[in-house]
Amino acid sequence: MENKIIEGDEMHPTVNLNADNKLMQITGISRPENPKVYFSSTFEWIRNYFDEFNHQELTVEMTLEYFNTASSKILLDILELMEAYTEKGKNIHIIWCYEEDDDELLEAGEEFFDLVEVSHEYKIID
Amino acid sequence: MVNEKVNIGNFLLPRDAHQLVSMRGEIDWKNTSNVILELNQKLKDLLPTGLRKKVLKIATEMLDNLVKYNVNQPPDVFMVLHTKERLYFLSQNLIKNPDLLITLEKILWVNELDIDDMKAEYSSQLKGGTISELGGAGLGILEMARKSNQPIQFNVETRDKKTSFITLLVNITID
Repeated sequence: MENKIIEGDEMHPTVNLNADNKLMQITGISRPENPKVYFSSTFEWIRNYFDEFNHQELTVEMTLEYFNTASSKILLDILELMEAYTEKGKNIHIIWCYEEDDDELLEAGEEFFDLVEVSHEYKIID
Repeated sequence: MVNEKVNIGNFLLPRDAHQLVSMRGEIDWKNTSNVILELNQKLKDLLPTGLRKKVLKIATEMLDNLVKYNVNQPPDVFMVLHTKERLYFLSQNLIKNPDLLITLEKILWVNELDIDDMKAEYSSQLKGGTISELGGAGLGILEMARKSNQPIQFNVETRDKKTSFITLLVNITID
């Protein structure tokens, strides 16, 4: 399966989809004009990763600077997809990264994980 | 007697409020992103990280609304003003009357909610909602009220049968 990188900028997060390392990373600011369009290839990659290539494990690292509410909805959709694959027996772990004094981003993570049942941890970054 | 208030956008704001960022004219995704980046840079020395992120969320939602609902008739206005105790976010734009009604309905509704209700509504709508054709989640007004924990103030002037001029003011305590 091909690895894929969607390069971000001042409005879009970088999405790194690495099948070799069983790793997916979303990094940066998320305020795309239409997040459904921006993340459509990410959803396609995740479904192929599990359904077509039958991978069993994936670690998802989310290191976001800030994001708008439309992005929140898409991030929750991604987490719900991970929850669905977890229920199918896949081994998925989410790492929610935040700076030590960023209680706002920590709270955003806690709100997401109140809504989905998926293995996760909070990680303080520099 | 010294007048301690100044009229900005038909709202009386403290005279010592000074402008952190502002934009006027045609507003799009690109130039609003530049304003958010400029605001982020200016806030780095002023606020702790968590509060800065909260402020950026309010600014982002206000600008998202401006970009999505403006009717391409400048001047649209966005500004963030700063006093020792508060930040004020102000937007002004022409809006189609059907969109105005939806916006006002949402504002009147969120202004009646307390912070726990807002948190519960946000989670519920995030879980049950969808992304619109315009690319929004319909959560912007609720998010501005939730993050500021203050009622959203508004002022409306009817322009004609199709459009009105709307001014929004959000403030957040920072001291």
